[in-house]
Order: sequence, then C-alpha cells, then structure tokens
Amino acid sequence: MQIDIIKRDLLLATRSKGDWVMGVIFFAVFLALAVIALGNDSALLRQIAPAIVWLAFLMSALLSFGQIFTQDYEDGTLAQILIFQQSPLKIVSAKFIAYIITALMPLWFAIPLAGLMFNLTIDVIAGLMLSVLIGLPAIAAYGIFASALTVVKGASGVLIVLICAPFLMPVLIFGISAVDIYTVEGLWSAPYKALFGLSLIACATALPAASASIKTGFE
Amino acid sequence: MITYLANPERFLRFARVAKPIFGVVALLSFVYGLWLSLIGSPPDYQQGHGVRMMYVHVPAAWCAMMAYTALTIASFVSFVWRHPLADIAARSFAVPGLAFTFLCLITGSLWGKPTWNTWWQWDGRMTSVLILFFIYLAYLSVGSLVSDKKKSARLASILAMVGFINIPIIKFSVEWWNSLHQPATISNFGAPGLPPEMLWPLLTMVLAYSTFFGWASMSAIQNQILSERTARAKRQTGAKITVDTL
Repeated sequence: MQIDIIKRDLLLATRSKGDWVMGVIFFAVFLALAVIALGNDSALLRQIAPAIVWLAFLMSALLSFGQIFTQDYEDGTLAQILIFQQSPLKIVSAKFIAYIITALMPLWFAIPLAGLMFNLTIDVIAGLMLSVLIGLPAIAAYGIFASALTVVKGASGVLIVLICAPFLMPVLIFGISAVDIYTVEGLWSAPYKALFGLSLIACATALPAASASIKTGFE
Repeated sequence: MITYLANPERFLRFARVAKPIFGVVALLSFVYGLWLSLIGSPPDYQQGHGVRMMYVHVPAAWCAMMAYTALTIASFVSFVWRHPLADIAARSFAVPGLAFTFLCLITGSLWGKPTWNTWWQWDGRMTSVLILFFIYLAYLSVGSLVSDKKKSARLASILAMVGFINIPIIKFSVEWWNSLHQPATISNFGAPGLPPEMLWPLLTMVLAYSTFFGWASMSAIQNQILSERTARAKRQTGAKITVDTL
C-alpha cells in the first residue's frame, strides 16, 4: 500500500513537467539574494555560508510544505484511500518518504553547488550535507504535520510557516552548530547526535499527529 | 474532582462560587506582593534594586509553563474523550498563557539590560521560551482554522500535544546549556537559595499570578458556556418561528 502511494507520487513528479525543480530554483534565488544583501566580502561569506545554506534549505522546504496534501485532497484521492479502510498513518508514512524523495533530495543535491558559490572547502561541504541529511527527517515530518493540520482549509502558506517554525528552530540551531564542529570533531560530535535525536523525536510525534489530523479532517 | 466539574452545569455552579474567591485572592496578593517586592524587601547585594524584576519575571515564566501544561492536559482529555468542556478549557488557558509568556519575555529582557548588559541573548532558555510563545500563537491560529468548531478544536489539541515537548526543554535548558541564566534557585534544597525576605514576596507574587490565571481562565470558560447556550437558545427559537410560520 505504502509502496503504491510512493510509486504514484514519484510518477506524478516525473509527469509534472518539472514542478519539483521549483524548490531548487528558489534555493538558488534565495542564496543569490542573501549574497547580494550581505555584500561581496568572501572571507565573511565563507564564514557564514553554512548558516545561509541551511536557511535557504529550510525556506525552500517551508514553501513546499503546502503542496504535500493539497492536490490529493482536492481531487479526492485522499478521501478514496481513507474510504478503502486504510490507516491514515500508512498514507502519512508513504507521503513522508515520497516527499523526501521528490522535494528534499533535489535540494540536498544542490548543496554542493551552493558550496561552490561560497568557495567552501570539501570538509565544510561534507559537514553541511551530513547535517542537512540527518536533520532532513525532522524537517519533512514537521512539514507533513503542518500540511495535514491545514489540509481541510486548503494550503495557507503563512500558517504552515507559523506551525512549523517553532519546531524547526532547534533543528536549525543544531544543524548550523553541527557544520561548525564537523571539521574539528567529525560526525560523532554532540550537535550531530542532538540533530539525530530531534529527527527521531519528530518521526515519533509529528507523523502520528499528522495521521490523527488527517483522520480529524475527514470526520 | 475533574469528573465532577466535567458537567458544564456543575462547572457553572462551581465557578459562581470559586471565581470571586480566586479574583479576591489575586487582587489582595497582587497588592501585598507588589508592596513587598517594591518596598518591603531588601535590594540584592550584587544587583541592587534590579533584583525586584525577579518578582514579576519568575512567576510569569512559571505560570506560562503551568498554563501550557494545563492546556496540554485539557487537550489530551478533549482528544481522547471528546469532552466539549475540555475544548473550551484548553482554549481558555491559551490566551492567559500567551500573555504570561509575552510578559516573561518582556520583563526578562528589561531585567537582562541592567544585569547582563544586553536585552537579548540567544541562550537555551530564552530561545525555548520564544518557541513557547510561537507555539501558543500557532495553537490559537489553528484553533480558529475551520468554521466547524469541534474539528478545529481537535486539530488544535493535536498541535498542543506535539508542542508539549518544548516544556521539559524550557525546564532543563539551564542545566543542558551553560548560559547567562542561573539554574533553579528555589528547588535547590541545601544550597544557599533565596533568603526568606526575598522568597516571601516571590511566593506571594506566584500566588497572585496563579490565582489570576485561575480567575481569567474560569471567566473565559464561563463566558464560552453561556454564549454557546444563548446561541443554542437562539437557534431553537429561530427554528420554532420557522415551524410556526409554516
């Protein structure tokens, strides 16, 4: 069942004539705007690059949360799946994986390019990619939760940001400190562990909560 | 106690007696506590008169966390047993809780300026309280998301329960991260905590804040029950008029 939903979402993404690229384009535009705003001081830029890239990643993710359930809700797919007595948790977990593959992985693969823009060393790029990868389940889980909460109302971007932001703040904090510490202490340092813990907590709380919200929405 | 009060009728009867008591206790302890904290207590040997900020800041922080905990319990009751009064209660705890959190942030920032020489520092405690503030805002905006009140209350209760993870983080943030904030002073038995002439005004202010919280949320619950009742009565007379004209 979950496999079917994931397959279907991937198929939809390949047939969407490149909707999934929009996130990457936003990511690039955000980075360009940030660099323009901060000036052309390459020493300063290299220092704060991990923070900017993390922020750009988070912003692109926040903007894409609204679309997770909207289409399926509007064309009735979600209702159909629920009518077939499928547990909403199955839908949510399938959507979680499909969302990571279709929306977050393209962004993740764009991180090395961002690293080139900022002239980062391989070490910092590796630390950045690892910290984003470990924090990625938390981002996706809270995004799916916010999207499921607001699905009955139709996607309302600002509200989704308001719901997600408090939960994603710790992820951002530990994600950025993880990059800073990677070159010194490597992958087994405290921020990476904290980030991993946050991701586990997010999967354990936000996914069941998302499933409960979808169930409530269709009552 | 809780099952007894779960009946709206009984709650109204209870509130008619308890609300004035809470209100009077809050008023008296505010007057006495403010007098104690502004005039009747000694200045700190390090902070001077700046320490008086503690008497408004610490109770606000405690009540903000207490209100969120109460909100989560009420949300849990409303989510599991679908009790309508729990919905109303949860929502009534949210507004005072938001106000306490705001007050806590503002007074903390005013206290931080003379003692730490900064309005704001992104340490664990301040960041987590700010997150609490945003969670309250998100809770309130989800609570009025859809026009179906029961549905939006249920959605909001889910959000409240997920957000509860933040409360232990606030509590332990001063122990996990070394920062400007000092660890808990009151609960450290044995260690030289607060002297009694400072502890007493603080406890009076805590009593004032908590009873005020009780008074405010009780009035909100009462108002909500009564307004729902009048709305129902209006609907019924409306239906009756329609039937009569038919």
